[in-house]
Amino acid sequence: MIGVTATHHVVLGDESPPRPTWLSAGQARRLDPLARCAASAVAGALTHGGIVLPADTALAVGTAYGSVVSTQRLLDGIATDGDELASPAAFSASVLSHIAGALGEGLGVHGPVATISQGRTSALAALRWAWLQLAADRASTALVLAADHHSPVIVQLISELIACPWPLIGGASAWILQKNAGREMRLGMHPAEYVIDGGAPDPRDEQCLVRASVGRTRSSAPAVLHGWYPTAVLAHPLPAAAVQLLECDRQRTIAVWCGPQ
Amino acid sequence: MSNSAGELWITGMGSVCAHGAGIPVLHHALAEGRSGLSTFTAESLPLAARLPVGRVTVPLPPYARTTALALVAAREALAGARLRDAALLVGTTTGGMLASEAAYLAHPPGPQAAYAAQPAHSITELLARRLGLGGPLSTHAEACAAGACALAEAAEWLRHGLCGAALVVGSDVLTRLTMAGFNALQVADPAGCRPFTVERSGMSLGEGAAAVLVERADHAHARGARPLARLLGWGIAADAHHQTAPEPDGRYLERALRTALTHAQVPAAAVDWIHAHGTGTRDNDRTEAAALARVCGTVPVSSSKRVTGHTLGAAALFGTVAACLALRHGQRFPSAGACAGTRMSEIAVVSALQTVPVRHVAVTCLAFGGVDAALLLGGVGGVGGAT
Repeated sequence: MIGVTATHHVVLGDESPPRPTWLSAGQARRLDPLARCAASAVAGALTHGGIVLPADTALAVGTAYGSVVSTQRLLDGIATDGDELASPAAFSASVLSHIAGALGEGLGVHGPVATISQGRTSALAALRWAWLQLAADRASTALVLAADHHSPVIVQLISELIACPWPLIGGASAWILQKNAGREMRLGMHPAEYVIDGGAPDPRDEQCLVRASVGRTRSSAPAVLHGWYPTAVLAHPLPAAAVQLLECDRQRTIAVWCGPQ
Repeated sequence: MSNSAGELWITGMGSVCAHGAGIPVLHHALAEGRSGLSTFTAESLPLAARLPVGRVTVPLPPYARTTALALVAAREALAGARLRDAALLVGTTTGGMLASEAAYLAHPPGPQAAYAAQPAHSITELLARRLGLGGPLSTHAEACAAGACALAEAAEWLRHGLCGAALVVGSDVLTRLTMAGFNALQVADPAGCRPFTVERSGMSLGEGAAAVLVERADHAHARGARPLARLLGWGIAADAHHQTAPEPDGRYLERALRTALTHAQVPAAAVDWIHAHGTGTRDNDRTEAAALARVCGTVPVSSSKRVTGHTLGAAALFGTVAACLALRHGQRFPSAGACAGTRMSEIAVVSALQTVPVRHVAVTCLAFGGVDAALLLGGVGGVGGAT
């Protein structure tokens, strides 16, 4: 059995603690805003779960955009100073695996690592990857991080392409999975009274989520958070009863089930 | 030839790189150790005028460039495997950055729509739609190890019954952002990369796509498909050391490689060739050589980075294709650029094409964010070498 043993969510800009003890001041200084938010979410999950991660911990990051603010900082530098004077720090932070690298470095974990960027299904895709690592005995513990924020360009793009019914926010959620502990987690659809989804700004995706939740009590993460980001599904508090988690992007749905507490 | 239901077979391959489209083109370039690097002048890539790169020049389908490259390689792999549907996993770093950086840097800025294709998964979505693939999707973005991580996840999907066959594609293009970034890190060699030489002084970027179709043996057997090679094991480990520099001792690449060997139940002594990451940077090659020497001793090692350029998220899949070709044809390909300097003494760098039985090949890679990955492939008998 693979179970969820701790979860924690942090809204971007509301990081507490501002610097987890397992990050040196130097490491913390090099983090971009999204990675800093992610570190705070991990710290919360570890504290609330009373968990010390073993060195073989698998680490998965699910993110639709990654550290897109750093990417645009790099491009701004190229536009202003030219290609020969690009910022090496902005370049390394623009790489999508930056968050996993920063967290792994701070936590000192050396197990399998992944960064999965599957649009609005990134969070559950990362959770699926982590489940598979434990199922295959590649690790005894897995840390899953779902994190996203919006740059000004993305905010403008979304406003032009879709009528998103929620304010655009940023945040990070950390989930810890362990073998034979916590509330059971399975891949796919299973019996559950509740459905939690990440919300779908696209009406066709919203219809997919509605169809998938027929006969169950549905709650969308953006309604609880009063804002939306692509990987928000893991930010929704879990009810005590069994719950089906869903994400949808371009009519492709991904499902993960959590058993009762 | 084994027909164990638990085995994973590679039944199709595809590629497009600086030398052109198609596996035969890549095979000839690898066998000859022919450099695909050149400089060129383009307003969209100013640094390419002084830093040699592997640039794709063949005509491409009318999609965003990363997707177009992926489509060429994917179609060849599916056609070779004679399969129409499969799960799809993609490894990439740049995604649709080419279009969005052009829009962002233009005066006045380009249309907002240019940014819609930037997220990495836009390749996967479009590829799935164009190819009519209805299975699950995943897009990996572990920088230069993304292709290996995608193939490793495909292996777990197959073993846990999430799908019967998976198309795994790595694709990346030359962008202004990556060229400026690697130049800023001072790891680009103006003379073109010279992996595993004492004189090496940096990498050379490339663009391209490589694809493999991997399926469970029972799935392949049921439809009469024949294997090109077997995917036997994989290992991934985190350096937890630095964002852009590998852990100097190479101990976590060593761990990844030993994990792959252990899961495959293949002793290091049975590995006949290593297709290494071999970027040509001072740090990468020193770290990689140290790890490979500890695990595999004097097993011959090659890098193909001077042939294709460093194709980032596609690199490990080019390595996987090279491994399949080596196993099928009984060849160890030369480490291109090895003769442009003094070969490193810590490992046995292949300086010329060798025709020998090849039973097992290891593919290694290291990536930003401290990701180390290793794949182990085995032959299926015949010309390359008995299993």
